Amino acid sequence: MSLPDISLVLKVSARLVDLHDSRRNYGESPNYQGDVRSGHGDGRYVAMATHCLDKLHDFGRRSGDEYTSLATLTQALRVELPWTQEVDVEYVLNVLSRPTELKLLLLDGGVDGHVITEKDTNLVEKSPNVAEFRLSWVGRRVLSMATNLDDEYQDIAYIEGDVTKLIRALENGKLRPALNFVEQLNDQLRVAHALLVSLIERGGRGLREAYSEMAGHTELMSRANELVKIADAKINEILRTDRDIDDEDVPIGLVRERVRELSRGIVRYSRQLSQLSAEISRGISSSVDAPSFAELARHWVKQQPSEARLNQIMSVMGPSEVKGILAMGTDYEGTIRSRTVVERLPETVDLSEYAEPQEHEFTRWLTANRAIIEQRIRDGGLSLEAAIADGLATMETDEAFGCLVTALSALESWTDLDGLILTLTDELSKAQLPALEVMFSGLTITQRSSINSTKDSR
Amino acid sequence: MTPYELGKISAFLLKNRKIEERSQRRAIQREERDLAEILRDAAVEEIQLLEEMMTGYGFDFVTLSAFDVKGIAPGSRVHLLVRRNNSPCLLLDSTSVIEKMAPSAGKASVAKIWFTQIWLMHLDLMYSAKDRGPHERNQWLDSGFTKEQLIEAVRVHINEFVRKLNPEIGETSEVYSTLRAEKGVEIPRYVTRFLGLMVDAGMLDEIAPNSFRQSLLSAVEVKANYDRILAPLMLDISEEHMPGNLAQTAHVLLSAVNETSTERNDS
Repeated sequence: MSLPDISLVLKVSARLVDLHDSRRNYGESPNYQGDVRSGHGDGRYVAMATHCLDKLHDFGRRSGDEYTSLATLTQALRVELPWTQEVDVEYVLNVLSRPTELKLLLLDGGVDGHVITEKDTNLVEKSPNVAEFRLSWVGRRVLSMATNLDDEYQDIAYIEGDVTKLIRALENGKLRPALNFVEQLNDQLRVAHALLVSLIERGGRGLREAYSEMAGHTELMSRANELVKIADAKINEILRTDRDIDDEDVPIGLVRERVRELSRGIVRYSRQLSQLSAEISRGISSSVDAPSFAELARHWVKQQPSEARLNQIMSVMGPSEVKGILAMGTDYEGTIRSRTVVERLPETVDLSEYAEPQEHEFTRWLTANRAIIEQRIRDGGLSLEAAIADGLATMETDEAFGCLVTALSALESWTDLDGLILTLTDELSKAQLPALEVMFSGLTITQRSSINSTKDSR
Repeated sequence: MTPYELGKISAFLLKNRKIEERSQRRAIQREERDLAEILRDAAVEEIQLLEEMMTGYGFDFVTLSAFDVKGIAPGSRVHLLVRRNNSPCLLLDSTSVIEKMAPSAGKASVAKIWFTQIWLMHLDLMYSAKDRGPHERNQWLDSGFTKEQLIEAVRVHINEFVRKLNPEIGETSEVYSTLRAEKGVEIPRYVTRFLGLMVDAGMLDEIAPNSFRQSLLSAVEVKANYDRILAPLMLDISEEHMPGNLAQTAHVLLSAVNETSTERNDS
């Protein structure tokens, strides 16, 4: 029986040992320093590193391998390690994101072998230019091993065995291990799928090599899917028979959902394998190597494409904004309730309580008195005092005085007479109406033609 | 999905081009979350209807999950409106956006020249400098660059290439004249404007102050449209270098033939 690749375990420990031996004092610059095997013996760096890896694993799983900011990590670490300082965490991550300087003796079948430095030992990847981190491929793999030491091979090639473990756990009614198995499988399948997608996107000669390595994967996935169906049947059996299960706090529905997710994942992975096969049958040179856009920029300095061509490029690949104003969902918020049926109450109208609007009274008063007022204006003018004296402030309605003042002060809204002049005087007058006593300033309406005719007669 | 919900989704997508269920980078507003939920619950026929509607507008309605691309949380999905290269979308306007590059220049061509040149340099940082092919959508998380890097790239481009060209090119190339007239202070200003426009349009994400990364939408659009839009223009460059290569190849072949004939003569 061949030994598993223990260099993976060394990769985990190497950086931790380097960190353990570091002579850097807490609070110093986070920049990487050369390894000297003495350092602090209090184990703080190792503790921080272990927690960092754990948190990065957790964040990575939840976010699809997105980078996590230093601030978020520090905050998460402080829950368990309250003495953690951000600058120390950054230092730890900076170390973890570099390869080890330890030498490895590679025997490679011979007795003497040769000493190598293992470059692929950075457990963490740092985002370019920003203090953000995520687990590297090695970091993920070694953490999986550490999580489940019995399962030394996390390769997708062993998926059948992993699904079998899931089936056994379900048969024994052990839901928590079953959930852990299936989540681990989903994670593993997702990473394998993402790698396959990257490989196909990259194209080139690597495709054929990868395909030869994955020669049996299509049949493997087909068999794995059959096993997943068995696992699904086991869950249905648990639900149907209502038999005793361990870990009752784990919802069986959640396990079933994860198992179905696994089934969908296997189907997607199989489809991707088919696409890989199709890419290879189409020919190797389908890939586009990294083009030099700077070279294109230099070419355009000398000869830029036509205006129409540039517009076409920018309309598809450049920035854009929506033309005009588009109605948004919030524009209608609260105004349209398509699904709410409002019950209509029977309407009752009591005419005895009906009060006529004031504008109706004004219209009626004006209809009755319009001809008189216009005639008085044509005959040399009409003052408010004279109109009251004529009884216009008491006719038809109780609000007649208000109607009269409105009519005289808003002539243009109801009469067609030309050349009207409104004159206000400071003198106050009083009048006694049936219901009230009123005081008003002088208000006279005259027509320019009547003034002229008066002058002419003089 | 009711017609009302369909309308809400299409209006939101036209404005933002993206609906995310979850994001580690930004807080998802309630409206977007509700729309994502409607899309999750929608039947296949309803999604097909939405896809067809968006195709009519000139977009591909693309749904991605954690299996398709990195950076999406497992179990959640991202919906994108990707522009189609064979049917221009009349609802979108890119010309007026680009003109904002140089609002006081008075000439639209100046804005466009600066924009396209910086645009190519930023693609160079995200793709060429990282040995990443345009189809490598999955590498979008690693496309980060800083504002200073972009400024430096543009500066090197102008100082090391443009200024060393024969000035006679200026008679035929407005691009040369425009870039040559740069006094040393315009580059940071134009780069800042460029980055602002790209972030506002959702093509770049500002992941930290002055640090940027390609957005998922941009990575998807580059992958979908590169072959038909930019690849033909790349041929111009290879043709430019072709005579030299051919001459070199011919020289090597002729030398080999000469050596062979000399060897024969010797024997």
